[in-house]
Amino acid sequence: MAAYSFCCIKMEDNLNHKKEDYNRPPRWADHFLEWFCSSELLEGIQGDLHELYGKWIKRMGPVKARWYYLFNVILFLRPFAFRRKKPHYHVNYIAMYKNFFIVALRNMVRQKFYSFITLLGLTIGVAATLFILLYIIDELSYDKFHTNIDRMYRVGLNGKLAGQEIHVALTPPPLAQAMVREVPGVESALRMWQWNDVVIRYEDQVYTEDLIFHTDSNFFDFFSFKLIEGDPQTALKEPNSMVLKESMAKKIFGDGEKLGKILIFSNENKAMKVTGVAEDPTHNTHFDFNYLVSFSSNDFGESDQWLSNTFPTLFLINENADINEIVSKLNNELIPKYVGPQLQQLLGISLDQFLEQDGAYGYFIDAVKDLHLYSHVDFDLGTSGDIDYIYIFAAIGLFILIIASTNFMNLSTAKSSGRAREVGMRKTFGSSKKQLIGQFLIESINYSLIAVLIAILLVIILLPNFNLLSGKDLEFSYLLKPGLIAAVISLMLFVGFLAGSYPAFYLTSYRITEVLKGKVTKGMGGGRIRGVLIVLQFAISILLIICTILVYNQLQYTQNKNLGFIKEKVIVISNVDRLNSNRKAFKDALMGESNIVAASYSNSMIPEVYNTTVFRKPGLEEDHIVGVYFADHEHVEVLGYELVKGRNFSRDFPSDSTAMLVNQVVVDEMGWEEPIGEKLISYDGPQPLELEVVGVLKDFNFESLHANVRPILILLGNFGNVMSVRFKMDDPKEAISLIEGKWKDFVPEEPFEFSFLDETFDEMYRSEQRLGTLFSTFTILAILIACLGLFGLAAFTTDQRTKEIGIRKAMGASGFIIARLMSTEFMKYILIAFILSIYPAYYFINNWLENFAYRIDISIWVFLISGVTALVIALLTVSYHALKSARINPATTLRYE
Amino acid sequence: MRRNYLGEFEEIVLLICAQLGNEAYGVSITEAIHGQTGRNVTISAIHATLSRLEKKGLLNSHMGGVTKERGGRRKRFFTITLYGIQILNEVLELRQQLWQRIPSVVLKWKTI
Repeated sequence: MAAYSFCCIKMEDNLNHKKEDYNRPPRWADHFLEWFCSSELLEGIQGDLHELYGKWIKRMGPVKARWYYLFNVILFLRPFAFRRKKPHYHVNYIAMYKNFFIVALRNMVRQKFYSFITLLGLTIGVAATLFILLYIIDELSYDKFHTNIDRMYRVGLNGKLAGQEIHVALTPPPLAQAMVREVPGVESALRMWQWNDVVIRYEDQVYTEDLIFHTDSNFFDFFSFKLIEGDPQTALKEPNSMVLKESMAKKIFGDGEKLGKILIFSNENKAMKVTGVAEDPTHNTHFDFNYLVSFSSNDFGESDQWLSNTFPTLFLINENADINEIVSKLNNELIPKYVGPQLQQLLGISLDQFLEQDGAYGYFIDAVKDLHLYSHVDFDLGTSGDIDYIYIFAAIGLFILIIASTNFMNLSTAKSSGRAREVGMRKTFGSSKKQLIGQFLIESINYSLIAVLIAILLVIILLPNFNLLSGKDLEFSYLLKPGLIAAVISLMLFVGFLAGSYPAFYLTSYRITEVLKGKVTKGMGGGRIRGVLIVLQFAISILLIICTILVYNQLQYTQNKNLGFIKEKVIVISNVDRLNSNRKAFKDALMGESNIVAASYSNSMIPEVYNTTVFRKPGLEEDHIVGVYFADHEHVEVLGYELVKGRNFSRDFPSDSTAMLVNQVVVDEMGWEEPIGEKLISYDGPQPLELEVVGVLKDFNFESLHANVRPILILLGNFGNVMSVRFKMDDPKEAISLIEGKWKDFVPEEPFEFSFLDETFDEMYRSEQRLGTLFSTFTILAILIACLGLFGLAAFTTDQRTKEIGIRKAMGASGFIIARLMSTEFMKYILIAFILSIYPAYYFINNWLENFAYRIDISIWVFLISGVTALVIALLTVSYHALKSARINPATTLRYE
Repeated sequence: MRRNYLGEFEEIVLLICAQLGNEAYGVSITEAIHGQTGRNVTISAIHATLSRLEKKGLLNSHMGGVTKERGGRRKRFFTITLYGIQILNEVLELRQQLWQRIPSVVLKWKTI
C-alpha cells in the first residue's frame, strides 16, 4: 500500500520538477537517497529534506542549497537508515504463496477447456523439442568417448588423375609406419582395413560376416574400446589372431570358452585363433566393428606399395604438436620421397611433371571427432551424419518451441484479462506490485512445470517409436546429464516466465480505481501482441508445410525418376564364386525356369561400379577415366538397359570378346558423331587392348541422383562374382525360394546371399527419406499446436463477444454474417503469415536442393497450396466456434443479466 | 537501575517531542532545538536519534496526511509514549535528588 501511493506521488513530483528545476533538490541526490534508504523511513526523511531545502534556498541561494542538500543526504549514510534485508513488519509469506497456488489451481480447474488446450500444446511442444534434443545430442556424441579424441586424426587422399578428382579415405599400407618413423609429433598410427562378406566357419556353423577389420596391434591403445577377455597389448600382435565383439562371440560360441578357439576364414582358407573378446562398440562410433584381425595375418600390411591406396590411416599426435606442420610434412616430404619414384615407374613421368599436367596428389586429414558430421569422402567407414541436418533439426525444434510457448502466451494473456478485478482486490488489500508479478509468474511456471513433467513421460513412452522413425538407438538416459537437466529446467522456467510476463507486468500496472470501477475488464488486453504472435506461429507453420511438400516431391522424384534401367523384380546374388564349377549349370537351370526372365553374371553390380580405368582414343595421348565392368550376354536384358544405337553382345559374333557397350556420356566425352565401330584402347592389362563399340546404352543413373552420370562401359565376360536375376512373380518371396532352391541343388552347404536391386537403390536415399518422415512428423506437430492455440483463442473471442453476437442476431444478422465476422480477423493474420513465409521457405529449400544433381523445380503451386492449406486448417479451427456462436438463440445470450 | 540509559541529546529530543505534541516531526524538532538551545543539528542526527528512541519504545511514529509543500510526501510525526513520559520523569527526579545532595556551599561558590 505504502509503496503504491508513494509511486503516484513521485510521478506528480516529476511533473513539477520539469517546470521549475531549482525549486527541487538535485535529482541524483534523491535517487541516491532512495537507493540506500529503507523504504519505510524514506518518505519521512525525504520529505523533511525537501522541506528544509526550501528554507536553504531562501537562506543561501539555490547553488549552495543543492550542495548542502547532498551533504545532508550523505549524512544519512548511517546504519539506522539503511535498507534492511527483511522488513520490520512480519507478513505471513507462507500463507501468501499457499494462496497463490490455490488460486492457480482454482483457475486451472475453473477453465478446464483453456487449461487443457494450453497444457496439451505445451506438452506436445516440449516433448517434440526433447526428442530433437536427444537426436542432436546423439549425433554430436559420436566418438567423443575416446580418451584421446582431441588428438586423433585420419589421413585421406586428395588427387586428380586424368581429369578425374578423387577424394577418398584411402591410404597405402606403408604410410602408417612412415609417419611414426619420420614425422615428428605423430605419436602412433593405426590402419583399419575393412573386409565385408567374409565367410566364417566354426565347426559346423557358417556365417557371412561384415565389418571385419585387419588392424594394427595398438588398436586398443589407440581407441578407448574395451577388451573383456584377453590382453589388449598382445591380442592383435600374432599373425592369424583375432578379436570378436561380445555379441558375435556369444552368437558363435554361446556361453562357452572363447579364447583359443579357432575360426576358419573360408575366402582365404585361413585359421584364426580367438585372442580376445571386446565389449560391443556403442552405436555412436564411426568405427563400428564385428571382428578385428591382426594386420600381421596379411602380407599386404608389409607391402611398400605407396600407390595402393586401400584403407584409411589414423594417427595420434603429441599434446603440443602442430597439426598443420604434420600435414605439410606429409605432403612436402613423404610424397616426393616415397610416392614420387613409384609414380614415375607407373606413369613414366616424374611427380613434378605429373603435377604440371593438371594432376594432383596429396594427403588431407580430418579430425576423428569431426568424421561423423563433417567428413564427406568416398570409401568411408561407417555411415555418416550431416551437420546440416543437425542445424535443420535444431531449427525445427526451436520453431516448435516458439509455436508452443506462443500459444501459451496468447492463451494466458487472453485469459488474464478476466482477472483484472482480482488484481485490483489484491492491491487494495496491500499486495505490492512485485508480489502480484510473482503470483502470475508462479501460475504460468506451474503450467510449464506440469507440461514438462508430462512431456518427459511422453518421451519415455514414445522413445521406441521415435527410434523407429529416426533409425537411431536412443536411450532416455542421455537426458540424465546434469547440464541437460539444468537446461530443461531453465527452459521450463524461461517458457513459463515468457508466457506469464505479459499478464504479470501488464495487469499489475493498472490503477486500482480504474480496475475496480470496471474500466479495464472489458478490454481484451494485448490484442495487437496476440495478432503478432499468431502471424509468427502461422508463418513458421506455412514455412514448414512448404518445405515438407518440396522435400517429399524431391524424394518422389528421385525414387520414380526413369533411371535408365528397371530396378524392380531383380534379385542380386553375391559371392557366386561359391558355385565353383557349377556356375554354368546354375545359370542354365535358372534360365530354364518359366518364371525367370533371365540371369546374368557380372563382376560389379550397380550402384557400386568402383572400377575405373584409363582409356585412350587410338593415336591420341589424352587419358579418359571411365568406369568399367564385365558382364555376360544377358546383362542388358536382366537390368533393362535401353539400347539407343547398335546392338547387344551376341553369341553370333565371336569377335565380341573385344566389343563394348558404352553409355551416352562416353559418346559425348569422346566426341563421336557415329559411335558404332569407334575404338578405344585400354591400358589396364600388360599390353594395350583395342576395344570396339557395338552398342550405346541410354544413360542410366547407376549411382545416387546426388551426382551426375559418369562415363561407363561394359565389356563381355562371364566370370563375375555377382549374379543378377530378373523374375516374373509378383511375390518376391516365391522368387527367393525358387532361386535359393536351385542354389541348394548345386551347393547345399554354401550360404546363399542376395539382395533386391530396388531396395539397394532405395537404401541410398534412406537418409533423405528419414529426413522427409521426421520433417513431416514435426511439421504436423507444429501445425497441430498452432491450431490448438487458434482454437483456444477463437473460443475466447467468441466468449467475449457473446452479447454482441446476440444483439447482432436480434437485429437481423444472419448466421453466415456472424461466422464471417468472427473469422475475418484470424484470416487476415494468416494471409500476412503466408506472405512473410514465402521467401525464407524458398531460400531454405533451394539450398537443400542444391545437393542434388537431379532436382525438381520449385513451383509456385507448392507455395499456393501450402498457403491455402494453412488457411483452410485455420478456417476450420475458427469456424467451429464461429458457427457455434452464430447458431445460438439470441434470447439465451441476452437474458443472463 | 533503569533499563534504558537516556543520552543527553536523546533527552533533549524527547523533551522537544513532548513539547511539540502532535506537531513533532523532523523539521519542526530541528528548528525547536535550534530555537530553544541554540544548537545547530543536522536533520540526519535528529532522525537517527528519533529512530533510536522509537526503538527503545519512548516514541511512537505515524505518517501524517499528504502535504503540498514537501512534493506531496507525508510527514512522519512522533509522539511520546507513556513509557517515555515515565522515563523523563525518572530522569528529572534523579537529577533533582542529585541536586539536593550537593552542599549549598559548593553551589554558592560556583555561582559567584
